Amino acid sequence: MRTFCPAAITSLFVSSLLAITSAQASEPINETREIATDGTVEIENVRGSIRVEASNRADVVITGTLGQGVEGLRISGDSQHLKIAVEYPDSGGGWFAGWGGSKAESSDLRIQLPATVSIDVSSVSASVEVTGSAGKHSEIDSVSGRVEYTGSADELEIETVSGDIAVSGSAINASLQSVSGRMDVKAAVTERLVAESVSGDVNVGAQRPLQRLQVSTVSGDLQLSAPAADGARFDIESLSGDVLLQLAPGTSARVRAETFSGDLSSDVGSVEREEHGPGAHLDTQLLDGDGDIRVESFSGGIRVRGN
Amino acid sequence: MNEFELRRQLRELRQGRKPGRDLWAEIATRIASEQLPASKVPTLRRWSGFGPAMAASGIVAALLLGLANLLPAEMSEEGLRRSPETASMLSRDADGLALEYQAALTSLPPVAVPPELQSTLQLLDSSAEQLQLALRQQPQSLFLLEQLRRVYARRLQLSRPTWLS
Repeated sequence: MRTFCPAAITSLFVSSLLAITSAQASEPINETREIATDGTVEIENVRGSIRVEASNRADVVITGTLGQGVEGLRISGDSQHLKIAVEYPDSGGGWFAGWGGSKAESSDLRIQLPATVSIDVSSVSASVEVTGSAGKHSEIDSVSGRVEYTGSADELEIETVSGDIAVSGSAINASLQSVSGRMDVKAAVTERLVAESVSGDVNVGAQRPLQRLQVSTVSGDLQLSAPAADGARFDIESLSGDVLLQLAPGTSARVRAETFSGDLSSDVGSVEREEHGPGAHLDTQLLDGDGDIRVESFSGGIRVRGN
Repeated sequence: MNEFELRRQLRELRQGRKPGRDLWAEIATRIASEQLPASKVPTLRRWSGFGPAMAASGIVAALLLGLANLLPAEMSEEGLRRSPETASMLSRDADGLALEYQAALTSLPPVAVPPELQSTLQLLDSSAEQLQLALRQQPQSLFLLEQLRRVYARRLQLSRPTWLS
């Protein structure tokens, strides 16, 4: 996953297709641009909202409202890589000027594009909502804005600082990261799902058998219900957050769980507790045991519910 | 043999035995006397020859890339888990990671942090402290070390001037 790079976000895109609309007062947006079916649309808006919707049209339709005081809407690039950015006045406060330092009002963007187009969305506090997008790659970065994704990209990457993340739809691989945002994942991810947080809770209700699941949190609580594919590997880790793992019916895996000082209970296998001091562990096999499910916590409790 | 099996075998080696006297006071004294001075705490091998500025930028990059960059190239994760020296080596790496992180953080130019971000930075600092405490109690835990690496990486990422100025 790429790292947050606001410097790149703020860099200008040199292109022959350039349009700037400045907003003296709050004003509507109505623009249309060509896009290749395998192209990428990059979208930036610091605050307000960003809505991306798949449509049956072959081009990109940009509507919404520019907030008063915003410098303008910059549309640049070509049909392979189109960039749409709300530009804020440079108040000398850096990237976060648009968040707290700028007096410009928030702007709302609605982008309708062909479903096969990849997207790259960046926000600070703007909420992000993506519906129906099915390109190869969907990437969304936000600081505090909530991200809702209901699409079917092959590769999905979402990263926030404090913004919540809600994902449904499907993906082959999905990587979700947040510091304190809560994650709710109800997606059909077929290969690899990575969800990492520091203090945010993580709730995974996978809709299809997963090959690889990596969930990690420092202090957030984890609730996981994910069918394991044949030979699946699940790694679930927390420092102090509690873990609730619901095993799906027919799970065939070796299930191991260990907590250094938390409580451990399980509907499957036999929990062994330390003779002296806290801590417990579990090691059991379900059916043929061709998968590998591992849960580790330092001081959080672990609950394994059976199938 | 994997980590779980290793730990299970280690548990089986334990035999409960009550000491004949209270040993804690003596243990506490010895711990206090064996504290390494800061200059003697092991540092990460990779950046030992770099100047401070280069080391700082290298650390940021390595922290962002992943823990694998901090570990000896010839040792895989499984290899580390199998090694009986895992605990002491990971403990050294945790100490080194903390020192190099502090060096990278202090090398960054001072920038005013927006109020919106201050609570997040405090949260990351607090999480790093909790992870360090946990690692002292469970030094063989690779996942705690990896979590610490990620917290440091995110903290540095959000402290960089490209974010804030």
